[in-house]
Amino acid sequence: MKVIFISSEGVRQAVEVQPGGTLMEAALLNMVPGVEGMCGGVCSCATCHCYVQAPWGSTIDAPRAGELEMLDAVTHRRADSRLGCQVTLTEQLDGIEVLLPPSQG
Amino acid sequence: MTSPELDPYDHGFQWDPYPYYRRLREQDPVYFNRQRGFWLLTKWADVHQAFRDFKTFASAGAVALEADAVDKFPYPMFISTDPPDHSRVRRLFAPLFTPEKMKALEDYTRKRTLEFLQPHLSSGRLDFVGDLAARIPMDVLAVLLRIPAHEQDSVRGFADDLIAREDKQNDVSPRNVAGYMGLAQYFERHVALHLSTPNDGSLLGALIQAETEAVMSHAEVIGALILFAIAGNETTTKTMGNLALRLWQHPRAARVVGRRPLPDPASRGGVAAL
Ligand code: HEM
Ligand code: FES
Repeated sequence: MKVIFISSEGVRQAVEVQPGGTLMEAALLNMVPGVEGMCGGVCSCATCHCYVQAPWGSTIDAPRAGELEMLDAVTHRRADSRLGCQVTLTEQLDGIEVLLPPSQG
Repeated sequence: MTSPELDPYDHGFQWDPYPYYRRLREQDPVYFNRQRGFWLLTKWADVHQAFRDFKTFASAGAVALEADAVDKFPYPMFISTDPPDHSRVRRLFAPLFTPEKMKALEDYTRKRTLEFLQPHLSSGRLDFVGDLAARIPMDVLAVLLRIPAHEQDSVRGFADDLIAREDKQNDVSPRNVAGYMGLAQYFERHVALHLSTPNDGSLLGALIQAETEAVMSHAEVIGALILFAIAGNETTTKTMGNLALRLWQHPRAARVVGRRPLPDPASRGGVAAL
């Protein structure tokens, strides 16, 4: 399946991944700049921060309490902010577009 | 350019490696040790880049200083694997190490620390490593791996034997092998014992379920358990020991730590005693 990462400057990078992984993994496995994934996906570093815009945002599970708590600490918080490691990629999300913040942290 | 000599097996180097690192950073930041055949990166940006570029800087066969060390042992450890194998295993554990899950362990760790300190309060004497720093990590790990209290000392003993290195010892010793075999036999029995019990949400439960569902092989499960037994004990015990040493060397810092409000009033007595 395909995942499209868009940098804050608008540069698009489409990557090909297997379903079952997370958005963070999709970025790291393809060395997409702007995603760090420091904690390895255990929802405790918030360096996989991204924006999942409409219509994709409504097709994925809403963030749980732990993710929202971590998102409270990120610099470029928006209403559609997500932690990439908490979004699992299913076949239905083929072609999903993910916007990246100007910086992680 | 000639580089400063560096012997990673020398206890002198291990006692204070920072001057070596500083010199390398200044004179030879991408250092190759000809004698031992390993590379050493000493700049943050280089290390960061190497972590990200997992295809060029692979982990398979390369997490120990000795190139063939991993092949000497029969149970593969996921620390020396690369994606997609590495991702497959890490995905199983991720839900078990979230902040919510860690909070429960944090509360447990505080409680157990007090219990370990309690018997020593009256005498006012404590062997910081033997009575506390060596025992807390094993005790917490035991929750994740369902290791009964009376077996913890022997599991920790095996783990210590496996990683112990004499000064300048540059290959696996008979003591290391004995520690490895001890852990392997213990975890073989441990997994067999729990194979038919339902997954209780522990790390052991997740590993056994992964084996049952053929997400991990049996050898990978045993390898992962051995890895946790080493990685969870060694690192944390040494961090705590080093912390105690530094506080002892810097009494002013120790006083600052002692004054910090603690979430649990009961733990103040323990810190004061230390
Ligand atoms: C002060 C404490 C600790 C330090 C300094 C430490 C350090 C490290 C380092 C440097 C690595 C290698 C990372 C890499 O190859 O990229 C690592 C990996 C690992 N550590 Fe720790 N560690 C600590 C505590 C623990 C604890 C408490 C556990 C288990 C409960 C643990 C389990 C592991 C495991 C399973 C790996 C392999 C991870 C993987 O390959 O995905 N560590 N640790
Ligand atoms: S990778 Fe750390 S929170 Fe997502």
